[in-house]
Amino acid sequence: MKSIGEKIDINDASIINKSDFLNIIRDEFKMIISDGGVLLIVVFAMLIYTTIYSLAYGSEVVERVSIAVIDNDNSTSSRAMINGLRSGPNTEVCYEVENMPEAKHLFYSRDIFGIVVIPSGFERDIIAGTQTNISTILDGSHLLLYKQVLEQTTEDVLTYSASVEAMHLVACGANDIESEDIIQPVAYEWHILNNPSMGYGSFVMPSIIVVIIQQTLLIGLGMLGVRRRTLANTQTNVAMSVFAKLLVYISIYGINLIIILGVLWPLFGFPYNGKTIDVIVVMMLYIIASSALALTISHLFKRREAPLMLLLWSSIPILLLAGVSYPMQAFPKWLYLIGRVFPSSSAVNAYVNIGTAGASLSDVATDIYTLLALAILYIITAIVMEYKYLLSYRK
Amino acid sequence: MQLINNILSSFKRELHEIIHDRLYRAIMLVIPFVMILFFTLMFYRGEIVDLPIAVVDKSHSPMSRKLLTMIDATQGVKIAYETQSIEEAKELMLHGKALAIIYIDKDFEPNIFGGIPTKVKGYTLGTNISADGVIESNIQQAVMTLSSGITLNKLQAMGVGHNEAVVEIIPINILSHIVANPYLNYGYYLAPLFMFMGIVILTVVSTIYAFGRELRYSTALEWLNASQNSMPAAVIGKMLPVTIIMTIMIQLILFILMFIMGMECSGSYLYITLSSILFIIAYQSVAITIILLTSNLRLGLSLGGGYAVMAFTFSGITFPVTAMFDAIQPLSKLFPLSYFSEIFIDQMMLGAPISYDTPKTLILMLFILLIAFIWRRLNRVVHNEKYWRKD
Repeated sequence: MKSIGEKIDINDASIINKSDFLNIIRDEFKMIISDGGVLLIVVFAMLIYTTIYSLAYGSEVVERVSIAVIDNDNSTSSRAMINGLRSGPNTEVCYEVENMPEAKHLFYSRDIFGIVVIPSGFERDIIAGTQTNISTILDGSHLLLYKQVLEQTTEDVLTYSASVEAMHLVACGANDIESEDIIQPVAYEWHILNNPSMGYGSFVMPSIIVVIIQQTLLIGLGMLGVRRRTLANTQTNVAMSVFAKLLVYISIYGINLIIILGVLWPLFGFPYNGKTIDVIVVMMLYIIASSALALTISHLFKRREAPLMLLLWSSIPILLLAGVSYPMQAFPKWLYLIGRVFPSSSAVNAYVNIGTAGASLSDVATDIYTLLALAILYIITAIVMEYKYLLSYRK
Repeated sequence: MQLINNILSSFKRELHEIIHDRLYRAIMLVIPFVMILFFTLMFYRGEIVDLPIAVVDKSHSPMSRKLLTMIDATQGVKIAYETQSIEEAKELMLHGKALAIIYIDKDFEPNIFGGIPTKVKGYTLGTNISADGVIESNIQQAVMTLSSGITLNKLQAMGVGHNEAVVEIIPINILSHIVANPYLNYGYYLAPLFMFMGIVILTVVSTIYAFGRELRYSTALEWLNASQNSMPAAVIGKMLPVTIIMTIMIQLILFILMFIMGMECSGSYLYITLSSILFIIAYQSVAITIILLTSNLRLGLSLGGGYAVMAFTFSGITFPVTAMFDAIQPLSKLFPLSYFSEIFIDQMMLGAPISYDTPKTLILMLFILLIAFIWRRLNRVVHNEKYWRKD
């Protein structure tokens, strides 16, 4: 591979012609393939990570979360209540225990994530028409589990409660239809437009693939840049060299995306509601902007191990900065604005809206313009950095 | 005594390396602070409040205004826009300006007075689970309050006394006790685990670098000589700076959580601290295993980095392990973070008896035993030139 750098006499400007463009592309591919570390990160990491994450999040919903019931009443009514709690689907009554210490033991052992306590006198109170209490103990340390247990137990208790209420009203002389209106005159109906199962994978995977593209480019091209410079592989026409390289990365990531969105997405049932042409526009701009950013900062690294060591940790912060998986309203606005310098922030928003929510390009115009501006800016900086390097090399 | 002297001289050499190698210095002394600062800023507020929503009120009645005022008064939601049509509202949602739509039908008030059950509809994009959850429960609460108020009036109109009517509406009252995070603060839930995740990445990467650079730059024998050729002393002296610095970082994280973000420790702080040391050494042991098996700094970093990042998913911090496919669940056992995050939650948030966490601590110790299995390979790699200079 040493021949790459030696092929071009950098002082001879006359050799620049059309075939040079193709040569740069060919050399770039050769550089990637000949370096196992770069090949792993730039070509395979995206496929490997997406597959592993899809396997982890593919089941989508948190169902049958185990809970325990303590029945201090042991009556027909408390049995009926427990049967209501058994109806699921979000929780499953796995244990009926005698007392709180037993339930606590299960709770600390992570065998259950919620406890429902039916008090003694439960049936008596219901028949007498006095208010009775059901206690639930919920685990606030894992919010997804908490939410499932809270919603399911509330729903089950309310359902049972409504039947008690209806019984009372009918006893008071109201008919069935009247009692339904009296119990719940206004109901609330919740519609999720594009992620009907409220699946975790469908929610998080689109953002993850977008962030992986940028991070693997930053790390991979950083490694490649150090190698390129040790081989003294320079081009006299820096602009052409930058554009040729961008083309290489568009093709590599384009093929990866076709595999991911074309094969893995349908396989795991993740949502894809956008127009393909819109997705292509967003991804093209994004790959260009992040490759150009990667080419720019690749000049800052002196050693090939540096990019991974310095950049790997930033993947999670960068995902959060996009303000999609964790709402931007919950963290400082200035932090969110700083995050806009990364192409990923605009691309996550644009792609999630188009791919999951079925938005059109005009709906995400701000993100598209930001990506365009970043692409132009980083192409210029990439050319400048390359040119500066060329000058220092000539000296 | 000789061993301690040897460890000390190896330790001193390592400190010298950290100070004089810019990359080593950055990963040990600069990036940890930047990372902790970032997550502190990110989660400092902790609660998700005033998420903007749009409403389409076709009813324009006193009753619909009442409901909207109640929705606006909830902590999590703020009515930011009122539009004429659902299409207009949807556009606001796609532009990220509103996170949900509330639609009130024009028959809303007549239905209520006419005794016909009516519905309020809510729409979200489903692109943001944490925001959607907050919005849904807040609006649900407001609608239920309105609904109960209407029922109360009706029952009283029917001649039922106030107290009887309340029992009629809520025959069974639910008393919820939330343990571990009583105010459901997102910061308490996310900040510690995200920060520990950062510590995992930095520990693995810096340990692989500490060992790998001796092979990559052919200084393995120099390193061994610094500890009078005692391999145990050389290894311990090399691990120690990372162990100490990352333990200090975890103390810094705990300090921020308790004294800046206001978390309370309901169990044993000492136990968290002792486990945190084992947690770091466990990750260092895995890191050493990876770099010795690859004997290639860059490949070791790539694989080690991949392993470190995976813990985020497989420790179940965001999506619970029990909800994953059955075949995937055992994978969570391969990451020390899975055990340490449970120890942290038990001791910091739940106040569980320590006996529930001792098995987890023992498993962290098992990870450290990995070094014993790799010892022969260590001797070979350090002494044999063919494992050096790989790039």
